[in-house]
Amino acid sequence: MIAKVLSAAIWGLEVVPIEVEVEVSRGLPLFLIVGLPDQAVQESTERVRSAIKCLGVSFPPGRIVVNMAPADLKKKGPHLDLAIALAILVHEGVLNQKQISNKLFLGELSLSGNLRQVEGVLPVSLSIDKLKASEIIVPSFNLNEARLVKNSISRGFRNLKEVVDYLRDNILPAEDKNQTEDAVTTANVLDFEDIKGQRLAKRALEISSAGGHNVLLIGSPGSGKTLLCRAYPTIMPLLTEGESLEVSKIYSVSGLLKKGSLIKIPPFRAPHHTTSTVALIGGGTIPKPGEVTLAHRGILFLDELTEFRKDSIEALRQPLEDGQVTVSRVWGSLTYPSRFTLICAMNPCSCGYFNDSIKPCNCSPAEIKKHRSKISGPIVDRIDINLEVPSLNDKELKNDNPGESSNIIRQRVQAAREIQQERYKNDSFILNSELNPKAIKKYIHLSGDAKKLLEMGSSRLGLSGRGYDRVLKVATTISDLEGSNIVKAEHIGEALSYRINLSYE
Amino acid sequence: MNKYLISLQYSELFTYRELISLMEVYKSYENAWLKLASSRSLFDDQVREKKIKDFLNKNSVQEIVDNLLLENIFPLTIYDKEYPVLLKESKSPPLVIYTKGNKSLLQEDTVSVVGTRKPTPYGRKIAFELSAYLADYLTIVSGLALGIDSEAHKGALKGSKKTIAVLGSGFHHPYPPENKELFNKIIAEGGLILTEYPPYLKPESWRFPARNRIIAGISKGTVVIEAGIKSGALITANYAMEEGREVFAVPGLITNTNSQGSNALLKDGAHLVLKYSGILETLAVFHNFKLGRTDNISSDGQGLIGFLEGGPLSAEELAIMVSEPIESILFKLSLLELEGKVVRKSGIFHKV
Repeated sequence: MIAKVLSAAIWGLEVVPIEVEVEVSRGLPLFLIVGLPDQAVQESTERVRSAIKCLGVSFPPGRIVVNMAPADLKKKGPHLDLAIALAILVHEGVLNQKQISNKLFLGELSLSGNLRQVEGVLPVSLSIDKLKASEIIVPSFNLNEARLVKNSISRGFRNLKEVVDYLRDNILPAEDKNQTEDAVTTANVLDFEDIKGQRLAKRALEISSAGGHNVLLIGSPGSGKTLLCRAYPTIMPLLTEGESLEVSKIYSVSGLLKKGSLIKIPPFRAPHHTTSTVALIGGGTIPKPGEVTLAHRGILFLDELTEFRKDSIEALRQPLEDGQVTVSRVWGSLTYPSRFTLICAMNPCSCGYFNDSIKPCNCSPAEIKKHRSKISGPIVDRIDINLEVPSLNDKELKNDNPGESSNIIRQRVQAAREIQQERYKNDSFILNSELNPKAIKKYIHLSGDAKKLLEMGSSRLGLSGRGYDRVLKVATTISDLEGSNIVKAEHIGEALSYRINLSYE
Repeated sequence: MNKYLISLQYSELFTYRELISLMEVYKSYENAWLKLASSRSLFDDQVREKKIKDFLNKNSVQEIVDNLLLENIFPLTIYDKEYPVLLKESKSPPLVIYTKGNKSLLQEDTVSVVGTRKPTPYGRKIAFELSAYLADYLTIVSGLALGIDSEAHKGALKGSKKTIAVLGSGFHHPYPPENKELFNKIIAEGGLILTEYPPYLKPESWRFPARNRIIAGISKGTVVIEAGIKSGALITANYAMEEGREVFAVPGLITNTNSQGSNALLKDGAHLVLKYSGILETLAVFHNFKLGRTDNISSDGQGLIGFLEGGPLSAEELAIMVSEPIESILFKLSLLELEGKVVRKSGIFHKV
């Protein structure tokens, strides 16, 4: 008799049903897994053998072949252990086929038969209807995650024995008291209120948050760039329900949804500058999401922009432009979402004190030129807000009042975003930063003074066509923050100040 | 409105010089009118004296002016407040101008755009685009002739619609007839038509150079786009140079006879038009850049400069010192930067 058990594999962010079949025939003892298993799946044989022995059931002698269908899809990860073990138990007569039908099993086994936490439970739970299962069986560590989806029935177990007891005799183990934590995940506790001074940068980040504008901060070491950027998520509106599921799914697939609760605060990713292109964009034999995808609906913070490898930075172009990233391998390609706000920080020169008011800079013009030429033009072109953050002297640090809390700023940001949603309701974009030249013409209305000032600015400052559009987009966000229905000269004037001169005088 | 001066000029019986001397002799045009109508033998020429007497006795000044107004023609004398200042300052300004349309344009900064009646497609394009661009800042003056002039008016109408056409004939005989439609459009869309000739006067070839003196006289600058070596546009440019106004020329192909005049202007030192905004810079239109709430903005800007006199500061420091929100400081600094009063280096502002 051939036993069949339902499980699932994650393909990108998609869930594919996997049917695990086991056949035992006479012959020399052999335990073979077919159906493009990766190393972790192949090693499953040892875990399953040991776990079944610990159950007190004799492991069948002879030739065991496990097939995982569809056979052309690469299977990875140890979460198929449970399904394989159950298929063998069905074959051995411990369970019958009826008891396991309509249920989907995920779980990694330890040698003693305990169930260990696995990745990707949330996406499986979300697509339960598509998988034609009525119930999901997961390790108890993953139960919270599985239950995030309201209309799915999920059960958690600590070991193989509990699973067998439940399937055979419908005995449910006493549930652990680890109730779902619905509270907002406050990974980021730094509030804007806690950062002294820095009005300029705070204002710029507020505009960035309201309009989704990418930001470049240039400043001497210790000017507070990194601190500010880390507090940035607190002024972003919380994720909507849809966004939250979208992000949580990505994190589940990457095994980062540790606490088993939905992610509600926009993610903040700060990869180190030695990071590889693959880590940034996503990749691997079976591509896993990279930093750009983990930063989806949140922030990708690149500290020390000039120290990143050039090819890594260049690879950001597509995700920045399209809001998604396609990773191609020989056997096909996978697309992950990557709609994030890019925040970069860098020193003005290699010593860090170019034009600093306190410390002298000891770089030669050639060194400064070299330092600045490391920034990629196409990336700079996609940055709307450029900011030079001068270092503060002690007097200011001591005297300045704390300023507004993140909550107050977030409310303003939220209001500005609502105005944008209303304005673009008939179009495909959501935020001002996404406007193309055609949409700029259609949606942005300038007052007479604003028009004059912009013309004056563009001729005096020699703005390029792109630079001109950038000023317009930022000015529109500023006017949205103010709740003004027309872009005024003040807004243009302020927007003009968020540009940067990358010359090295 | 000096009805007597208007009527005397309207009669076309006196030359420009005579009208000026009438004022010197009789101290007022009213006096002149009354004396001329009654006294005898003021002129050697008996025929002319009869003509003048007939005119003065048969017409009333009120009637002449009323008839003009009835036709929506609004006359202005050089003594009127609304008479354009630049024109008044020019050499031999017309004593009376007849206007139709939006008179407020006479108080605005103006630039004239002139050129050949037979332009190349390139010349047409430039005339149109340049005028459309400049019309956002300046009123475009031209002569309603075919070619460059027409394009200039059309361009301005495409832009902010601020345009003045100066005729070489009276309002009853706009010239050329092909531009009748443009003539009506300019009035209908908020432009202005202006002439120094009473409505009944027909166009004559010698009136056009005189018309060009008004075009040059009323404008801060004159832009010549494609002018042949004997073009009327060069006459306008010459007038402009005599008045000390700025002259611009758009470079053209040296093989094109209709560019020889404008290219020659460049050789003689006219401003080369490299891009449209350059004209604004030269005319210093931006120096007069004012915002709705100008007064306190500029004075605030001055305040910021005061702080910078003690040494360079960042926007942050200025915001703390003036205790104003950072966004308004940034706005003011941007204005000061554009005015060339401060420069920014790595986020720190220095007074120039």
